[in-house]
Amino acid sequence: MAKLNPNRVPVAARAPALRVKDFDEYILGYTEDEVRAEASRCLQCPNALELCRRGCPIANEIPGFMKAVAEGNWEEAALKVHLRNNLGAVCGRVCDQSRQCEGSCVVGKRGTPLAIGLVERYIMDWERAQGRRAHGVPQGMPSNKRVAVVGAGPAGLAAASDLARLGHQVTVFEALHVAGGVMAYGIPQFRLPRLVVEAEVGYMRSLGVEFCYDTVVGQTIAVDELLAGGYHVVFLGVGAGVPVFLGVPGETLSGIYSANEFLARITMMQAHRYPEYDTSIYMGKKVAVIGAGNTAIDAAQTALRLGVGEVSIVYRRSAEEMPARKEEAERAVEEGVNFHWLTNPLRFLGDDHHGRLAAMECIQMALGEPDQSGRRRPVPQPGSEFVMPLDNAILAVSTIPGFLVPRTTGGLQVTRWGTIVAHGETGATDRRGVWAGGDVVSGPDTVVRAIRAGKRAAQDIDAYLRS
Amino acid sequence: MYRVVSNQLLAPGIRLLTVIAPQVAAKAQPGQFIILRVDEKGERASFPLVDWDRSQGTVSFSFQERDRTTAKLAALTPGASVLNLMGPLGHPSAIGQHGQVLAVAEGMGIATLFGVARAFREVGSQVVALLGAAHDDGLFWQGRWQAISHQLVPVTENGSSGRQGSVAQELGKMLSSPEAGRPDVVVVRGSTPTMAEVCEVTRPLGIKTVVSIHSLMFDGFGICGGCRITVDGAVRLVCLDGPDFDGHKVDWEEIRRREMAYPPGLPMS
Ligand SMILES: Cc1cc2nc3c(=O)[nH]c(=O)nc-3n(C[C@H](O)[C@H](O)[C@H](O)COP(=O)(O)OP(=O)(O)OC[C@H]3O[C@@H](n4cnc5c(N)ncnc54)[C@H](O)[C@@H]3O)c2cc1C
Ligand SMILES: Cc1cc2nc3c(=O)[nH]c(=O)nc-3n(C[C@H](O)[C@H](O)[C@H](O)COP(=O)(O)OP(=O)(O)OC[C@H]3O[C@@H](n4cnc5c(N)ncnc54)[C@H](O)[C@@H]3O)c2cc1C
Ligand code: SF4
Ligand code: SF4
Ligand code: FES
Repeated sequence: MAKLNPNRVPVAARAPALRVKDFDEYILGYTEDEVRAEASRCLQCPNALELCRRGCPIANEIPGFMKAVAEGNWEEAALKVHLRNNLGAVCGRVCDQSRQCEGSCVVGKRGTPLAIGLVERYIMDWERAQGRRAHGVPQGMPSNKRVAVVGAGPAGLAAASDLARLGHQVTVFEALHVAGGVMAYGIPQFRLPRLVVEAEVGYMRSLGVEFCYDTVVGQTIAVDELLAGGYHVVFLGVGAGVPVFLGVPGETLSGIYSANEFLARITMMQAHRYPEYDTSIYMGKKVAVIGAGNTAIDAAQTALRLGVGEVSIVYRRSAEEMPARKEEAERAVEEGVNFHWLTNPLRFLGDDHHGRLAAMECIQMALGEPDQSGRRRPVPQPGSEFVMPLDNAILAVSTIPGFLVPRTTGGLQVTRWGTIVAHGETGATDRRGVWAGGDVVSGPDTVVRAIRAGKRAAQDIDAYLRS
Repeated sequence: MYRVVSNQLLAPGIRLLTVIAPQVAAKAQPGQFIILRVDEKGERASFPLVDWDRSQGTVSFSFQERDRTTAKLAALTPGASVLNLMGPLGHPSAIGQHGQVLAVAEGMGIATLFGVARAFREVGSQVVALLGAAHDDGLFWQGRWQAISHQLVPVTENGSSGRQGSVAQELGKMLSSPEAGRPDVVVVRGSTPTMAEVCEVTRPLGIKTVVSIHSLMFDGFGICGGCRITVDGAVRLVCLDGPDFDGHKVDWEEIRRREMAYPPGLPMS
């Protein structure tokens, strides 16, 4: 067993003042020497299933790929990732590692935990650079059964690729013109380059998965029609993409965007490259982002990259309760984002001429008794109202699932939050032949847990199709 | 890829594009719309469906030439294609069993309302059509409308054909003349100011008026919230809840303002 080196090999990142000038990835990733040095720190714990692998929602073969990397055995390392993770290059970049795999690494008790995400990213980037994919992942016998996967987000992609490997014919129906779900339209390119997602989708195509874009299930075609038209099973991975608004006066003024619209115009449509691209976005000099989740941080960093003068995050609770990852918030601060804690919008005010946003009236909050979430409830402080001049506001308060699929599918049960009711382990719904997973079942969550939901459903669907 | 079958000039600046899109044609109903992206660098933009042919697998939609996307569309020749086309989106227009339906269409609305009026005719309603344009060359499809209408009233702003004035003015006259029957519903397609004016004519008379809102769309299935409008004091998404709304409950001033959110050529930052 290797002797313990308590300190993580540092990773290069571009300087904040430079990186805010473009949309290129700014965590640069390890070099070959660095990644081998980092992987050699792994203690190869025999009880990894109770440590790092337990912290990872999909129980990645972490000691396995660490060993292979330390030895410079890249093919082997890639195979180990593929055994568990359908989107390793994505997860290596966007997982909340400090609360997941890395948060459970034993080395973290005496030093800094293994940089599991960075190692996973290196392996997958190596493989992409080679232009080939690990083979040797177990394949199933062809079943001649057809599966329709609805939604090409991480849940749908994981289900589709596992089902294809298990021997089924899979077609993915996606409403948008690209695959990836939030990975393609939401998460900014400086955290997740488009090429990474495109390569993953390309790999799934090579497994035999077919993609039908421009298909809104519930409008273009209904689940019932898919089931009647030759598909034996439908998996619903339609996410929770419908933005929630604050419900305060003035919210429909122009200049106010949902985070989804703002990010999709940039990430998916390249509005920052207007007029080379046709999509545009109008941004003024002062921008406030409402909310303090990861979406809010992404929106704030994206706004900075559009050359906006002043970007603030306005959050009704304090830094303690912020749902965003601490590291992400720190990076935003480094880049120049301001935080207004304990501040809640009361209404938006327009200018006299065009009804464009001109200002936002806010109220100061204080923390009271804990609420159902266990966090202290924000209470408005009468008399503390103030007006913040603004050119744009970006609302990043929450999202919920859409109703198109449940409304047009017989026999599905839906909660009052619009989420589809599905079996926690298998994703089976009340409707025979229909499975669901990812954000549409859990509400807004994470990429890796959407992958887990897709994988579990794929196992259960395989058993159903072969019984 | 969705291949263009024809690209027809209906009136100055107004075109009808027909493309092969069998999955949309199979489902299309009067009042629905599509979202398309012309090419790799194109934006997502919405257009009202005009007609479809399920056996040929084609759909037709109309547009007015006024920005980059519609200039690209205008230049497409048969055999060319648009990269993405998604639909049909939105709710179909409600085709109730009404005695008399007054169909008010201006400009491009003459094309987009035709299928709706025809559907009313097919369920047995009497259709009175009030069709307006700036000049007589804007009054296309008169024969088609004639074939489904009980009465056809053309209006031009300069009086070059039919009566002179706007459709809202003419509607006011028609509804106040004692010999005209009272319509059970007024359905309107036109520019935002025209639809708003028509609603002000019918509001005091208490005649139900259905409009089709064309707010700025992005995804068309509820993801961006950009198409939101206020109806009866509540926020509604045009793509999921519309595009048809009760015109007397719509906040027209707000829609007018939101239409200015992306004035053409507005620079970034
Ligand atoms: C800005 C932002 C940043 C985030 N950052 C992170 C991060 O750093 N790390 C992390 O782990 N998680 C992050 N998340 C959360 C993560 O992206 C989601 O939890 C995850 O994408 C959910 O996957 P999914 O497959 O369930 O749904 P989605 O990714 O939402 O995919 C659903 C897909 O279904 C399609 N669809 C919807 N309705 C229909 C229909 N009717 N017919 C056909 N197709 C349909 C959609 O177009 C979409 O492509 C972030 C989310 C956002 C919004
Ligand atoms: C799909 C879905 C499923 C759900 N399922 C359940 C369930 O099964 N059980 C249950 O008990 N609850 C459920 N909820 C409710 C949910 O857990 C939270 O109670 C709700 O989202 C409010 O969160 P919060 O008050 O903790 O806000 P926070 O966690 O403080 O906020 C969440 C995000 O919204 C922002 N935000 C919200 N409101 C404001 C505001 N006024 N001003 C500034 N920022 C704001 C925050 O900054 C943050 O980005 C569900 C919600 C959704 C969307
Ligand atoms: S998938 Fe995510 S949680 Fe699991 S090991 Fe990789 S980075 Fe960690
Ligand atoms: S817990 Fe840490 S040291 Fe142990 S196997 Fe996992 S990554 Fe390696
Ligand atoms: S077009 Fe995006 S929500 Fe309607």
